[in-house]
Amino acid sequence: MKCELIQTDLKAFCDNELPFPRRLAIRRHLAQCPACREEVTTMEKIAENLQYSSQSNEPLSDNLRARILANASQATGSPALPSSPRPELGEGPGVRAKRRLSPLTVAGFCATLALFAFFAMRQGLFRLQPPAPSPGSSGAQDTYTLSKNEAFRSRIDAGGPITIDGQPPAVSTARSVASLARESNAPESTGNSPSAAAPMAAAPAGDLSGDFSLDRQVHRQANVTVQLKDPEAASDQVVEMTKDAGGYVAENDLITDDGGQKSAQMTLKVPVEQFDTVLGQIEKLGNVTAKNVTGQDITGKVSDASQAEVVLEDEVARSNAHLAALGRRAHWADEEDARQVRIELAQARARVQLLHKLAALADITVSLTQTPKPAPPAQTGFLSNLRGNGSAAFQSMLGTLSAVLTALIWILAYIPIWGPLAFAVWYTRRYLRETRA
Amino acid sequence: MHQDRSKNPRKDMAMARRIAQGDRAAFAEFVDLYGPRIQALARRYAASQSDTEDLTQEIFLDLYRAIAGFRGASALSTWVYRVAMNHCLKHSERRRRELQPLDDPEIGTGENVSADPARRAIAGELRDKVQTALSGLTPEHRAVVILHELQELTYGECAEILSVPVGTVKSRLYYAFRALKGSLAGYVLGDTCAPENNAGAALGTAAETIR
Repeated sequence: MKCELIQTDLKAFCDNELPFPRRLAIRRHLAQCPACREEVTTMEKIAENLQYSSQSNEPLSDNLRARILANASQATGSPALPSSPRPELGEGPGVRAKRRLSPLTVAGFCATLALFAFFAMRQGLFRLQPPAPSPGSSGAQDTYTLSKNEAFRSRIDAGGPITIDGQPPAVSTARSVASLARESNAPESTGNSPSAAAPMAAAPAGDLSGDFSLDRQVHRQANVTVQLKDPEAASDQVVEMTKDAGGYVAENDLITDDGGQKSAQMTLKVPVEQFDTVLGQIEKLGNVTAKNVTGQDITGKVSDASQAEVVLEDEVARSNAHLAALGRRAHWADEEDARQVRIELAQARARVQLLHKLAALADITVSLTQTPKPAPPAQTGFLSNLRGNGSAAFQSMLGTLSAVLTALIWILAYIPIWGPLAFAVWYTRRYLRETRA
Repeated sequence: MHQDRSKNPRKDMAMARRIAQGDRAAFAEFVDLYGPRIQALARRYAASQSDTEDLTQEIFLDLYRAIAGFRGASALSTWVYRVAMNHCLKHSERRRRELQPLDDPEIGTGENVSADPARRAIAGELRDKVQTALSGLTPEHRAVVILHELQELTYGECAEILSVPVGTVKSRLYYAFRALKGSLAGYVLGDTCAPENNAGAALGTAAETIR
């Protein structure tokens, strides 16, 4: 690691204000770099001298304390004290206080935004479908298409995985990414034509204007559930489709449950260019009951991994040079360090390859389920009725019994209260009867 | 010199409310709690001991007037430091001149200075050197050094008081120390002893300088 990369963290290192991994990295660097070690020592010395020079927080002198309290008393006398405004905090150089917006301002701002969005949607400003191409306006047209694709991409970038409801667009309230993609690329296509292939993908996005799209790496995934008569035959068809598209089947399970219902679970890896084609073909096999398409932008991860690879290559070269310079004097710890760096480099390279593979191959998980057979008619007959009625009667009897039991417990529990009362009533009636007699 | 900062938001709010309602005893308690720290902070921005006292007095008057506006969004100590820091920076700008060393360093010597006159003189010289070095820093760098090194606040607290990200505090401290290294190098690094004994070593160096 170069000194320039860690220098600004050296003070925070001294103050123990760094996260553990960064602290560890700097500690490793310090073990090898005498200049940075000296810098740390200097900083510690300066800090110690600063602290030594600072006087302890001695209490206020009696005179000053009395003056402060007297000032406060005078201020209390003024009628403006309780509602005296808070001094502006952001006026000093270098100090900017956070100002809070009043709820009314925020509400007004939100209402304005909502109104703007409402009218903009009514005017069709947010429609992603590009306007019909008109001759003689190619420059402006290109810009427009680019901005639409940017908007589309920004959704992917911002939201990470985008889930699409498998229901028909007329039912779904949200505009699905698939439909957006089709609109933005080929409005009239059904998603099966090659022209609509991989609108979100990086490498094949040749239909996107500008170079900005070429360096994006997007990993696409889809889960689709199709209901059809014969999952077994359909799974064979899916295997063929995948092979034709240049992909492969990573997993294929055929399941028959207790009720004789068949289903197939498949995981397909297809080249990202063929993603929409294969997905469209699978959808045509039967009735699509669920569909979920996600696109995850992994450009950042690829970039990070590539940078790590470059840095580690540099580290390996340096450690090799270091070992060569040491020759026979090389300590086993130096060789161990060099070996560790080589391992980290190999891991980084594998990570980059994996990420490129992820971007190049899209995952499709297919569930093929058999159309459910009509349920057998419910059994009717004397015995089944009797069984059903008997069970209901038994439940009813239990309920009644529990009510009686509850009442009994209640009576017993409250004897101390109603017992004397009942006795008093009985005694009074008896007394009256005897008196009359 | 580590302060016993209040970390109890409920207690902070209760104290602020009592002061805002005109409770003298609560304000006296507040002055006793924060007075030493505010005075130490003011001393770094004042030209003399009397100036320090005036500034401390002004800060407390401001705090008293403003405390009704304290809503408990941050710790009371952070809020106090923020108001005080604003006042100090405004004061420093108002004077429009570089800070001078204390004109009467005898006043306000702390417990870490020996009763021995020679050592006290040496410590006073170290203080003057540090004060001069601090006054050579930009206001932003000086503020962060004072808050972190002299007031012993954490990076997070400094960031909150100065309303800047923690990363900015980190980089400002680093660059401030580079500048301090330039101005204090001859004084602080002239010795060769261990870092833990450096303060004493600096005193030793200062003693030799005096001789």
